[in-house]
Amino acid sequence: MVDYIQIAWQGLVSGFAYALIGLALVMVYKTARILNFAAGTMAGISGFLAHWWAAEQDMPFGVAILFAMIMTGAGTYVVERLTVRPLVKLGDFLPIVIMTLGVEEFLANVSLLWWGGTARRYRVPGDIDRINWLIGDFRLNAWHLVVAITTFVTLSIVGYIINQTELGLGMKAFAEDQDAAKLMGIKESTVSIWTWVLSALVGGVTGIVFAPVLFLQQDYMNIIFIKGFVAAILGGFLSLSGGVAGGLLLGELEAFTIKWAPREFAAALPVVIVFIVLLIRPHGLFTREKGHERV
Amino acid sequence: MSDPIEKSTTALERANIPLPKFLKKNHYFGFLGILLVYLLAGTYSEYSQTIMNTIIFAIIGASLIVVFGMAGQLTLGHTIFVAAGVFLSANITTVWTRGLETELPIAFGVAFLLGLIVGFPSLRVNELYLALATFAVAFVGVQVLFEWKQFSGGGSGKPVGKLELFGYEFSRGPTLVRIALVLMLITFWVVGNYQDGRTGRSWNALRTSETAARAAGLPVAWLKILCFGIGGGLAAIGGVLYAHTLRYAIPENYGVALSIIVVLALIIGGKHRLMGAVLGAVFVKWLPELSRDVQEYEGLIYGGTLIILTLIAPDGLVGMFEWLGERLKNLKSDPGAETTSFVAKETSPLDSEYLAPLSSSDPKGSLIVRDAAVAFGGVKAVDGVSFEIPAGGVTGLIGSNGAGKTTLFNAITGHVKGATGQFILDGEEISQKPIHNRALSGLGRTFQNLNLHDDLNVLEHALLGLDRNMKYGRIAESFRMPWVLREEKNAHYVAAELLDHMDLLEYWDEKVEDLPYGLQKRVDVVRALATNPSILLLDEPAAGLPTAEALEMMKKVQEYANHISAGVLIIEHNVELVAGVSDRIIVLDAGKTIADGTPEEVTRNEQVIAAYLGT
Repeated sequence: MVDYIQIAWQGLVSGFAYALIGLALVMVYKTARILNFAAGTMAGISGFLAHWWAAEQDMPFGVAILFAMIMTGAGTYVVERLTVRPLVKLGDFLPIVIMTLGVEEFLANVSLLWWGGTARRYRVPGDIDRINWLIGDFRLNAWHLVVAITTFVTLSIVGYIINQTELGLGMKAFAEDQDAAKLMGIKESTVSIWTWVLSALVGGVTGIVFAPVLFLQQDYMNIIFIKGFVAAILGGFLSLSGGVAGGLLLGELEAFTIKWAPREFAAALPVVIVFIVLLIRPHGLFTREKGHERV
Repeated sequence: MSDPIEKSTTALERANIPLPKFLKKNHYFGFLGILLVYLLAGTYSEYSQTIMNTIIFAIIGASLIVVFGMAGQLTLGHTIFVAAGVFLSANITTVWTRGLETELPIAFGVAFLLGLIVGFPSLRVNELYLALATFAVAFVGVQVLFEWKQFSGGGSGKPVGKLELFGYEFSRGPTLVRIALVLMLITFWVVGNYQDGRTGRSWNALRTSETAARAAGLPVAWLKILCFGIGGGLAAIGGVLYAHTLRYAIPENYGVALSIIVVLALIIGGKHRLMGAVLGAVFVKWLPELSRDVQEYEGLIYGGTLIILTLIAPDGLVGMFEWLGERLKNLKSDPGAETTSFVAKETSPLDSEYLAPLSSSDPKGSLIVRDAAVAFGGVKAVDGVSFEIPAGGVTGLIGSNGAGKTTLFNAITGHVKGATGQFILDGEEISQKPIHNRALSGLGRTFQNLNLHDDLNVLEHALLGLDRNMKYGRIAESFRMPWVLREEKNAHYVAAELLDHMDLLEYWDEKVEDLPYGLQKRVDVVRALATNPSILLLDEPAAGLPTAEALEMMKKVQEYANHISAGVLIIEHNVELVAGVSDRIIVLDAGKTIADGTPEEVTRNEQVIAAYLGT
């Protein structure tokens, strides 16, 4: 029994990462109908910045995180203005996706040049990630607890912003109907850019908090990015809570597959899931099918 | 300049539309270029590695043109096909100790099948999910390779055996370059043939509007899967060559990163032209050769270039060169000198040798609609509509906004999901058929809000409609067999006459997005007429047009419909127009039929006046 709880907890912890990235992706897609392929790399850079400043530049951990978040926000602001904004008027989906691919390639190489390709393991204050508590036979890693708490705090903040602030209202309006929202006097570029920044910050938090769990390697967030994507698909890509639920579900599925199935299968699991979901319910597990397409 | 008036009897000649030829000018240039590299392959042997890589990337780029450039399916999983080629090659050469004669067909075949599987989700999902699904395929493909040690050798990889062809062993270096060039020539030839044939045209059409492509009778689902199959197969040929260049197959080389690089290279080069595949490959493979510094910043430069090009030249380097070329040409030639004097036709195009055979005195297009119903959530947009239209007649369908007219059209043609009821066309039940099969059964339609293929020209729209008349197969098309050319030529003649009839001939070369609205409406009609429909469903053909222009267009449409004895069902708000052309009018209100009769009867019907005509 404890075995299962242990697996379920492991699944939940990875699920948190997928859920947060899934949320970040859905947010931008829902409001701006843009898919950001650079999201993983951007989150990775945030994580790198924070841990690098703290461990190699002797910055206090909290300050390093704060600086990293500011950098993430500011960097995203610039990236959105320079690359995505000029293409939005064209109203075409593909160029923007291609653009984010270019941004991905660019940023990935910036971080590769900066930090090199080797994996590092930075210490966190107090070596929290090495503390393990035993509750009966159940082993609880202190950092995993930090991950869980951070996830809940982040989700609450995002929830608050979306439900209680004007920005959130604007995001909802754009998600519902772009044209109507514009006619109501909501400025598209403002909503869009703050959505991007918010999404990047969520990604940044994920990058920072998961760096000690994974090895900090130049592309360490890519795998999280892909699974966050799968999470978003599971959730239907248009539902924030669906994305989060999809992430947790994926984490559990993965944890239990690794326990029972051969490794080959566990590796292929995300793709198998994507295929099955896309074939049976193209609109995701948690959302209802959208109405008809107008011709 | 000879006087063309006397001899030019066909519209095609009068408009100077070039006929498809076996070899075009680009073919000669391309062939010369490849020949040059072929002959010089031995001279610069220190570069043969880079030359090889360039050729391989060009082949992969050409295969991506099929999937991405033509069919518009953004795939980020293209490397799994390359990997399939590489590892099949490694296994065939070492385990079976066979040569290229076995490697190439098997690699192509396996990757083709793999492509059909990978392409399958493209039927169900939008471009966003597809980009993602293929991304995931690339990602997991590598992991599967890692784990499948028997096939791939695991993390340490697998050596590639000798380079052989029918038992003759070749040295690598210049010989390999020459073999690669021959394969590149074949690949380019095949892809180029698609670009000029019906398959490429159909791919281009579905890229710009799937809805309209279906309505024209194109099997969109199969075409989409097929593009992945063919693209995958061709990429695997690049993979086989890659295996022999590297001599060692290591799984980690074929991950997401390579997938992104090949897409990136093609976009930088230009995704709609074969030359783009070459330029992209040259850019990606020769830039690092320039200096060691460049090598270090390689990825940075690719990413940066992509960002800048996407902003300023979405069609890549080729697009940029073409634009420059146009500018130069415009500078040189003084405008006005080149306008072709347009010769008026002497006889009606309907009597020309290409359209005359389509004439029929046997009326067709009897349509029976029984209990048609469509509901959106709780709203019944069409609520049990039944009527019968006799063959060959013109029937008007009127009603206020939201009465369900367009939805009824969509139910008949299959463009709306969840429609119930029975539709019988000329005695054949079509209610259960997919859209394109209904179109093939004889439904031709236009769209209320113009559903055209933006970057195809006017002539190509007509050719799309004629697609069903072309009987040549896709394999024959790949190798441009004589009968392919014959049918294409014939279709060009027919298309030109049809354009002439609709007064569009002088615009044949224009991209439809550049045309004024009135002409775009006609292009929409032409595409439908070209399918030689039994019944033509016109959805507000006159909307937004001045009445005179609308009347003129309707006259032409009616002439053509009479010529082929097809029926016409027309939705129109302009009552004057619809009463003028129709034998009979059906009036819909709130999803139900409220009147059905001759124009006189209907316009006098009080219920109609109350519901629609108003005061």
